[in-house]
Amino acid sequence: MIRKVFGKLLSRLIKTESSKGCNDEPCLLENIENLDLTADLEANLHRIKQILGDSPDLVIRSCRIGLKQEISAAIIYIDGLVDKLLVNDDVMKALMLEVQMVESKENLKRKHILESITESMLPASDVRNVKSLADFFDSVLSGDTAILVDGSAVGLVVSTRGWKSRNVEEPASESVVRGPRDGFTENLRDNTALLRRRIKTPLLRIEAFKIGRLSRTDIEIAYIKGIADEKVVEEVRRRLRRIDVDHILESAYIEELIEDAPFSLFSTVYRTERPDKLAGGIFEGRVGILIDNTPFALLVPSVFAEWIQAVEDYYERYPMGSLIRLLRIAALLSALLLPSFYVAITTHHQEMLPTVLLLSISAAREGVPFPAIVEAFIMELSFEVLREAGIRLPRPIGPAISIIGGVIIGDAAVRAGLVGAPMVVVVAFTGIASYAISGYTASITMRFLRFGVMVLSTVLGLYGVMLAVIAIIAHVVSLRSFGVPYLSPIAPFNVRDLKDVFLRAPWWAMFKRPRLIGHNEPIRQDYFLMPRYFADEENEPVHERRDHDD
Amino acid sequence: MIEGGKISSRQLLWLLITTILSTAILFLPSIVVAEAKQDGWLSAIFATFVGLLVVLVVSTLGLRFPQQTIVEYSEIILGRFLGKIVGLVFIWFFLHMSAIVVREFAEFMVVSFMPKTPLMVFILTFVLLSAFVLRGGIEVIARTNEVFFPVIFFLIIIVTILVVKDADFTRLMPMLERGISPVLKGTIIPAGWQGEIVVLAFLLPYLNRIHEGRRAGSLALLVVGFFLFLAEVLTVAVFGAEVAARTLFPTFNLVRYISIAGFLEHLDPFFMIFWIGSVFIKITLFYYITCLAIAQWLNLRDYKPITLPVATIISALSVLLFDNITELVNFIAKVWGPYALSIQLGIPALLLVVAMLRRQGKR
Repeated sequence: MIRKVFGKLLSRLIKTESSKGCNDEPCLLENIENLDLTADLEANLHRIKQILGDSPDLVIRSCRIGLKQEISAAIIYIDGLVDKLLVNDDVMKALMLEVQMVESKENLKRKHILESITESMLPASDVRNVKSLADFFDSVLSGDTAILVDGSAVGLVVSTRGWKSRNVEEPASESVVRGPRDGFTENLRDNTALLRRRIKTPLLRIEAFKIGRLSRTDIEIAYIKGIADEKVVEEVRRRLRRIDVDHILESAYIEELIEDAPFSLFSTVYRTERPDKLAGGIFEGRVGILIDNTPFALLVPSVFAEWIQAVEDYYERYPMGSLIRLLRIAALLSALLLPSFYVAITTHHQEMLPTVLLLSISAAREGVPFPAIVEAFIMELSFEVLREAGIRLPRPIGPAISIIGGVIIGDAAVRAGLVGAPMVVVVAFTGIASYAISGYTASITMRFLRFGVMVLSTVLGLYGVMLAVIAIIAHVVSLRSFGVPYLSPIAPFNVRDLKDVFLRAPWWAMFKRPRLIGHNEPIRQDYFLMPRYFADEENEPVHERRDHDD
Repeated sequence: MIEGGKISSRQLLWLLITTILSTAILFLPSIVVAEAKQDGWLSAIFATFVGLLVVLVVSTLGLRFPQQTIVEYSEIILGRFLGKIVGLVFIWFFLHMSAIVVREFAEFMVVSFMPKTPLMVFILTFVLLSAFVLRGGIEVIARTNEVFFPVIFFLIIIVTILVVKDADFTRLMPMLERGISPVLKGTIIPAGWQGEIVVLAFLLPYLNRIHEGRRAGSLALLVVGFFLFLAEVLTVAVFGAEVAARTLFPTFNLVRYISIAGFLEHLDPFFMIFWIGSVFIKITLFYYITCLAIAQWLNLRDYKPITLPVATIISALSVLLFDNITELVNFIAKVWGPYALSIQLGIPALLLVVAMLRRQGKR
C-alpha cells in the first residue's frame, strides 16, 4: 500500500517533469510503481537522474569492468550519507582493480559478472540484490551504495551507511545519579546496538518497518519472543502498518497514531531516551518501538504506575528506592491537588486549619486585593510562563531570566501586595513537585489538570476537588494501553504486582513479571534468591554453600 | 448482552461493601439506636443474617439462570406479563433507591458542610458525574471503586483506633433492658440496607466466575455487618444511647471528636471527601442498574442512550420525594425497611419458589 502511494507520487513527479519536455520515454513513466531496473545501464542511469532531478549530492561514478574493460558499470550513492572510505576501498577498488586480478575469464563475461561480484569480489559484508526502482531508491537514499552493471536488470546494493551522527551521550531529559549514563541517539542502528548490548538473548526480536510516504522513516520494534504477549506484538504491528502519513519526524508522531485514547490527556504510550529503561520494559514483556532520527523510543503497553517509577529506584538499594517512590507519589498528588486544597481550605473550610496557622495565613493575605483563586492563577500562570521561557530561551540568557523571574514571582509580587506569601510557597512547591514525577509528559498532564481542579475547588470547595478527583480516576481506570488496563495493578487490583508500585520490592523478591504484561512467561527468576550466608565453618567459599532448600 | 464487561469476584466483593456501607455507616446508627437503644449492635448482627438470606435466594436464582439478570429471568419464570411487572417493580425500586441515596448525600452535604449551597447543586453535579462514569460500564465502576476502597477501609480503621480511647463501654449495659422486641424492631432498618445486596441479581451475570458470587456476597455482608456493629458500639460507647439517638450523623460526629496532638483537629472535611467517593460509587451502581434494567426491560441493545433521561428522573425524584431531611430520616426509619425488604427478599423468594416448582433453569 505504501509502496503503491509512493510510486504514484513518483510518477506524478515525473509527469510534471516530462511535461516540461525533459523526457523522451513517456510510456515508461505511466506506472512507475511497477517499474523495475532494466538491462540497459544508460536507460537506468537516465531514469534515476530524472527521478532525483540531478541532485547535487547524487554521485554516479561510471566505470568499466571486466577483463578487457568491456563491461560498463556504475556506482551510485548519495554524498554525505555514505562512508566514502568504505565506498572507495571496498566497492570501487574491488570492481576496478581486483576484478581483473583474481577472476577467471569465464566469470568476467557479461553473463556471470553479477554473481561473481557478489560471491567473490566484493569485500563487503552486507550485499543485496534489488530489482525494482522503489527498492533501489529506498536503499540508496538511506545511504547504501548501488552497483548497476550493463546487461543486468538486477542491481547490487552494498551497505555503506556512514553519516555524521551524535555520539552516545547522557540523556538530557532523564539523568541519574547512579546508573548507566548512555542514552539513545538519532541513529537507529546505534540504538538497536545499545539495546542488544543489554539483551543478549537470541530471543530478542527486532522487526523493521518503513513508515511515511515521503520521509520513508525506519521504525523497528523490539521484543523478546516468548515473553512478550504475541497478541500485543501483533497489535503493535497492525497499528504501525495502518499508519499512512507522509512523514515521521519524532516518536510523538507514532505515539499519536497508535495510542488507545487519542482524546485523553493521559499518554498511554511510554517514551524514554534511556536504553536501560527500554530494556527493562522489554524484559518485563513489553514491546519497544525505536524510530530513526530521534533519541526517544516508545514502550507499550504503558501503565500509570510508570509515572512514579524512575529508573533510579531500581539502581538504589530497595529501602531507598521505596522511600523515594513514596516521596514521588506525594509529589504527584501535590502537583495535582495542592493549590486546589489551599484555595478550597482558605475560601471554604477555614475551620480545618489550626487557629494559629489560620491567623498567620490571613495576616499574610491581608491587603491582597484578589480572592485566592485569582492569586493562584496569577502565580501558576507566571510559573508556567517562566518554565516555558526557560526552555525556549537561548542558553546564555537563561540564568538572567530565571533570576528576574524568581525575584518577581518570589518577592516583588508579595511586596507589591499582589499575592500573599503562603500562595508563593504553595505554587513554588507545586511547581517543583511536578518535576519529581518520572517523565516529562506526565508532569505536563498533571499541570494541565491542576487548573481545572483549581476552578472546581473555588466554586465547590473540597467537594469540588473530590468531584474532579473522581472524574480523573474514573477516566484513568477506563483507559487501556494495548489491552492492559492503565491503572493496573491498582485497579484491577493485584496484590502481587503492587510490589513495584508504591514500594519497590528488593530484586530477590521480584519472582514474577507483571501479571497483565508478562503473563506469557510469568516466572522471572528463581525463588529464594535472598542472600543468606552461613558462618564460615569449613573454609568453603561462601557462595557455594548458599542454601537453596531452606 | 448489553454489558460486555466482566468483573472479578474481588471487584464484586469490594463493590458490594462500598455500596452498602457508604450510607449505612452514616445514617443507620442514630436510627437504630433510637429504636434499640444500647442494644443497637445486636440489630446490626441480626440484619446481617437477613442479608445473608437475600444472598442465598438471589444467588440460587442467579445460578439457575447464569446469563441473565432478574429482569430477564423473571419473564421466563412468571411468563411475559407478570414477568414484565416484576421487572417494572425492580426498575422503580432502583430508581427510587438512587433518588433516595442522592438526596441523602445532598442533605448530608448541606447540613454538615455547606449550609448555604442549594441542594440542587450537589444533586446535579453528582448525578451528571455519575452519568459520565457509568458510560464506561460495570468494569469502570468496579475499577473506580478499587481505587477508593482501600483508602476508605484504611480510614475507617484509623478512625476506630482514634476514637476507642474516648469510648466508655459501660454505656452498652444493661443488655436487653427492654427485652428482645425493640432489638427486632431495630433490625428491620439495617436489614433494608443489608438487603441492598440484591444488586447481585443484576451483577451475577457479569461476574467472570459466577459460582464465586455467593461467597463474595456473603463475605461482603459479614464485613459490612462487622463495621455496622462497630459503628453502633462506638457511637453508643462514646456518646451514650440518648445522645446518639438524637444526633443526625453520630458516626460523623465521632470523626469530629478526633484530635491528634492538639494540632490535627476538625478532620471531618478530609474524611468527608473520601466518604463522597464511596457514596459516588453507590449512586453510580444503582443508577447503572436502573439503566441496565430499563434497557433489558425494553429489549434495547444499549443502555447508554437512556442514561441522561434517567439522570433527569433521578434528580427530579430526589428533590420531589421529601420536603426536608427530617422527612427523609423519618421515611428511612419507618417505611424503608419493610418496603425494601419486600422487594429485596420477597420477590426473589417468590421467583425462586415458582422456578423450583416449575423446574426451570439449571440446577
